[in-house]
Amino acid sequence: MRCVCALLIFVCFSSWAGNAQSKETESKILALERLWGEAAQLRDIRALDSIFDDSMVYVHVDGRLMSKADVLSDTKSASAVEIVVESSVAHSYADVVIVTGLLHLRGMQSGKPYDQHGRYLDTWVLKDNHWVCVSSMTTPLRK
Amino acid sequence: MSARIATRVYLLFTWVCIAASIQASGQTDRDANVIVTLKSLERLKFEALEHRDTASLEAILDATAMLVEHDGTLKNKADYLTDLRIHDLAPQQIIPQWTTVRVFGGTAIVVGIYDEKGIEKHRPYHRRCRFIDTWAFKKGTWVCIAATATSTLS
Repeated sequence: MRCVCALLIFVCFSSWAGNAQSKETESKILALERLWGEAAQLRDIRALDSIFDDSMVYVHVDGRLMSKADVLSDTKSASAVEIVVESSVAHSYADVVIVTGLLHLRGMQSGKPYDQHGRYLDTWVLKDNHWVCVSSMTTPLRK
Repeated sequence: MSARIATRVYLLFTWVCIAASIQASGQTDRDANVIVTLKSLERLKFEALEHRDTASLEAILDATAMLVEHDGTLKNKADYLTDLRIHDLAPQQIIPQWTTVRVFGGTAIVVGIYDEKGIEKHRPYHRRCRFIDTWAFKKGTWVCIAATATSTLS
């Protein structure tokens, strides 16, 4: 009987500890997402460089398939952009976290203003004890 | 004495190099196998979608999978499969045109383009979409944990 009780307590504790760790990881990733948005607006290339994995695949809301180098050079040369994240949810699976959310982008491209709403899905992976974004796609919302 | 130390250092260095190359080649072989597996799973996924084979998709998609459709709609697995069963949409042909796989240990992403033709609300449609699927190795098998697509291509 004692063994069964001890086992039950152990199982409950393990499950609670696992959930707590998942929540902590998800909060961490959402903080990194906020940092990404701020860094993109401030054109802080150094911060973006540490957030993106070297092999990152990025699909822009306008459909362009870009590498990390493309995103960094695009951010450097782009005119001011306003990024408003309207909602964001993270789901953690051991050493991978998926983030989905809605964003509103406003800015200028090739001298023309744009105002676009999109749904994004980002994949984060734990590499050498450091979370990095390995893929990101924003799909324009059809009204 | 110093020659003996130099020999030992040389042997140790050689051993470290050999061990590192064996580990790297093991990793490369494993990644190559994962790439083959995921490319066939992607083919299976597209065939299942083409035939609205929800039983196969049930096995391919993780229970908590999140899916963003080409129009930006976010669905969970249950909604996605229900819509596929009852929605007034009949894909007739879905052809993946190119795919590339990147492996990160127990996680992998597949990036590609597919060409889809079919009937939606009694009208034919044709769209080309770029997609990114995220796969995770769970309980000895690869499952799709997220999928996103966009029909905006440039």
